[in-house]
Amino acid sequence: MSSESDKSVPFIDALDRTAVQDAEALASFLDAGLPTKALEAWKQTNLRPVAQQAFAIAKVAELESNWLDSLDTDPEADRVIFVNGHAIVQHWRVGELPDGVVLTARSQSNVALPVQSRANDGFASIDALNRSYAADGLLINVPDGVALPRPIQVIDVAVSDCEHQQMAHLRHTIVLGKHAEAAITERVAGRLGAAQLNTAVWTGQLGDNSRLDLSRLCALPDDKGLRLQRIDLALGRDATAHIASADLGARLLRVDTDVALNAPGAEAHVSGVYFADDGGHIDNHTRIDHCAPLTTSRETFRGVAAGKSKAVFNGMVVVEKDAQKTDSDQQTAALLLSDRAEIAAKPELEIYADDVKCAHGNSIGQLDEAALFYLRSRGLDAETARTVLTFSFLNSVLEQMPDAGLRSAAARLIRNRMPGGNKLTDAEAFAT
Amino acid sequence: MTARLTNMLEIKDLHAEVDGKTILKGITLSVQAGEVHAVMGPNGSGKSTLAAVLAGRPGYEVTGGSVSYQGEDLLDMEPEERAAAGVFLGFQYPVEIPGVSNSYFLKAAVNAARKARGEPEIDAVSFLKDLRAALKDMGMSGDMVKRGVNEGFSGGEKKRNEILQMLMLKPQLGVLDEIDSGLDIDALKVVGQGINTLRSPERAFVLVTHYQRLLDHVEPDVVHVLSDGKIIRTGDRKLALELEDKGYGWLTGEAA
Repeated sequence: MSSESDKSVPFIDALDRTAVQDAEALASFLDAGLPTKALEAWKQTNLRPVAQQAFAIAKVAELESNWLDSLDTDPEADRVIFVNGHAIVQHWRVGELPDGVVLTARSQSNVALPVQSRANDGFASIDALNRSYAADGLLINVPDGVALPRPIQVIDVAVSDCEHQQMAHLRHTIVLGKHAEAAITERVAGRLGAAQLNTAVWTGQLGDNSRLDLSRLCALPDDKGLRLQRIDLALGRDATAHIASADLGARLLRVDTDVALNAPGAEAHVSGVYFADDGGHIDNHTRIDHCAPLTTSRETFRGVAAGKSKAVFNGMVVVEKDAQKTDSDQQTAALLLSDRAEIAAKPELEIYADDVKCAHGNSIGQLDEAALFYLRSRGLDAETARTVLTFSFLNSVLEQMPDAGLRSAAARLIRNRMPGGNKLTDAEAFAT
Repeated sequence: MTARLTNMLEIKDLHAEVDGKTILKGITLSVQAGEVHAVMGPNGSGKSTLAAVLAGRPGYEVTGGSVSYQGEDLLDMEPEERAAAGVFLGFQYPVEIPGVSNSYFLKAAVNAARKARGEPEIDAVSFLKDLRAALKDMGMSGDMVKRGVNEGFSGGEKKRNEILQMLMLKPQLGVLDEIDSGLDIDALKVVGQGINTLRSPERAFVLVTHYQRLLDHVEPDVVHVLSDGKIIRTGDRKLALELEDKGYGWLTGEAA
């Protein structure tokens, strides 16, 4: 047995060899096995809850329409829905699209979108697992000069009864032509009777001067939701990507966000908030590669860990030798709300160019006692004062999320995670 | 029949320490409704510690004596309970809270006070009306309530914001800790007027100050001089003027 992986574990022994979509991918997954803590990229995140369990390939499940409606944050948006890794097209709502736009499910189409994924050593074996079994996902192609008329709302839900531990896999592909524009939201939720593993991989290629807004909200049950996800975007000249995430619950959530700024003028804005609550584990790994001169990145992550939980943030910024005049800034901050919570935050900078501007800052702490006393001395009870300060701490970063509907859904979920938070209904009251 | 005079605030032989160091060494002071008391003294005399103890700031340990407010044991109350009972502390250094808007903060504070009095939450129209009037009194722009609490405010703006909050909360007892420090003449005047607006037979104020000049705008009924954790002299307004003239050394026996 390799020291870096577990190859004979219940997870692997129980893999369904009949449902394989890509035999080569499975071979490489079996060769690598699930990552273990011996791998640098998985030092802080233990996949034992996955490795020690058997998961069957998930079947389609019925959706309660009330629940579905509650996840739909923008009735004006086009809506695509995946349940347990399957497109449920009867629930899709897609309006008229400009000529040449492709918006379809992988299972419904044989369109091949030529997108090159970049290697991510830490995620490679999970990516292979995903390719082995992903039969579905979203395919988006926006031709040169076209802006999608409406946001695309991707709802990805995990549903199970109490008997079946399942897994589900999705692969999404986005191609934006020159000057093309698209806004996408991803809403991940679960109604789980048993533990469920979902993997998702987004691969995107942004043409010259194109723009992508990607807003993500993941809220899975803290006792059963397991999710491993990668976002991999490659940007052309003067292309802009805004990626904003709100990771608000899961027993184990790992998100790798990789952005390559491949040509001059490319710009990435990556922001995220997370709330790890009792029993939860949330791990964000980001990597921004400045591969060309005059590229810009702005990254802000803020999160809290409450109860017995763990949050991980690893932010890598690489500035290649030729990427002169790179302008990069990364700011992360985290609050520990309990003495049983743990936060591991690590900014990493690798700079091979000599004429660059790279700033980073990282802080972990508790709520400001002076601010707490100030609020209490004006009559707010201690609990409300804590909730107000915690919410405003996260909200100031959440404000960067491009999609307003998803943003307010995330704000509501954050408030509901805190004692007395549901009293803070007036989100408008919080300054930006 | 004669009405029994209840003291608004009754401080008896108050001792307090911070980080194991004794700062207050036996303060006795009583404030009646309708009165304005000035507590003056040189740096390090214990003025701000007295204000902090009255407000319930964490880290200040009362080691002896008592403080009763309207007949209740003030020291037994949490900071928010003191606020609910009508005690307002004006901070020497108001805290900046980015991300929480001033208007949310004001509304939450007003509603906490109303809840304590058994009243329903204030409606939006009345709140805005009160807020506009208070802003006008304090010479503040409406823009300042949309910003984060004290975020990016100048020293003077922070102090105006303290009085703005006091005008909205209409406390029974205002304890203002060096509300005049860092103010220019105009701001001092506005702050003084703000305090005078609330002055009434039902309310009382304790003004903790280093300088006499605030008292040109808010005329005190009683002036106390604090030195080394004790009140060494109590008098009327003339005492403050005398101090201005002669310096604290005149009373403390040290060179001013």
